[in-house]
Amino acid sequence: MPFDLDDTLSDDALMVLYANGDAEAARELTHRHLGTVVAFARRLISNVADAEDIAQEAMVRLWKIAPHWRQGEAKVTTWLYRVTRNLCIDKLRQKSFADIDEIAEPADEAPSVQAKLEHSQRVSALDTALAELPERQRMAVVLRHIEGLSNPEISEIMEISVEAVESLTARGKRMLKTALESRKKELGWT
Amino acid sequence: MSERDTDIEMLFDAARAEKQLTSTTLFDRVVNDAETIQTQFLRQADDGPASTASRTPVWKFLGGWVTAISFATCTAAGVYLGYVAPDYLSLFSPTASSMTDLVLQDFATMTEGL
Repeated sequence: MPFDLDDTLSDDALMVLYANGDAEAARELTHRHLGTVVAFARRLISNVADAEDIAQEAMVRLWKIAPHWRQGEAKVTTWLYRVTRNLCIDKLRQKSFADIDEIAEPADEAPSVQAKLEHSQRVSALDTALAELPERQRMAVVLRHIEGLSNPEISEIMEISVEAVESLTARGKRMLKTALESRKKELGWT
Repeated sequence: MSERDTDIEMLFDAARAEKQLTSTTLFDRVVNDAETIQTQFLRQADDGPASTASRTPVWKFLGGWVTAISFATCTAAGVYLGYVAPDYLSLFSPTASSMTDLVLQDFATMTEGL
């Protein structure tokens, strides 16, 4: 998707441009972050439609805060992860009495091409196992091992200590391994 | 790193490699939101605080209805008391001369034996 703006501009600079009336800045920020926000939300709540609604709401909050954005105080990505996390928690609490099958089975959006089937099965198995983790462990594992954030960044997003992040990711990973053991044949594990 | 750790890292790699493709519809919804919100706050900025103040009645700055009702009640009470002038009010408002007389009498009594 072509944009007129220089893609080397920082997120902070884009926020300032947007706040000053540059519409292209919003397109560039959306291009940079929407996919990440949707992916993160989908892994936390296992529902594509809800994840998209949450991503849209998180972006709305970003636009609203733009005129008051303080450069250098927080990274746009960290801010978005935190807002998305909070929106997901709200959604999960609303759905706490929902059918467990709906939560446990993420939508299979695998492409029909045979060559991609195995890859898709692995991701699907991981998503299913992630959905079985307690909420905080799931968030920590997704942020650490899939989104690739550092422990201090995760501690900022989850508003907990770095030690608590380390504990959550370690326990989460152990639980994931246990959960995936039952699907080792499907995953090609020996 | 154990064999199972390696296996799970492969799953994480697979998940990282799978880019979440956002639908064009969602992208457009988000950009439309951005434009709407941008228009709103730019319009507010153009209006400025002076315009906001001009839209607010002066009496609201002075306390609004609460102040107006209190003021009206006090005015009515003042007019009524001024018109009726009940006798008992004089007990609370001795004239300056009678007060002076009372103080001088007390002083004279106290200093009588000196």
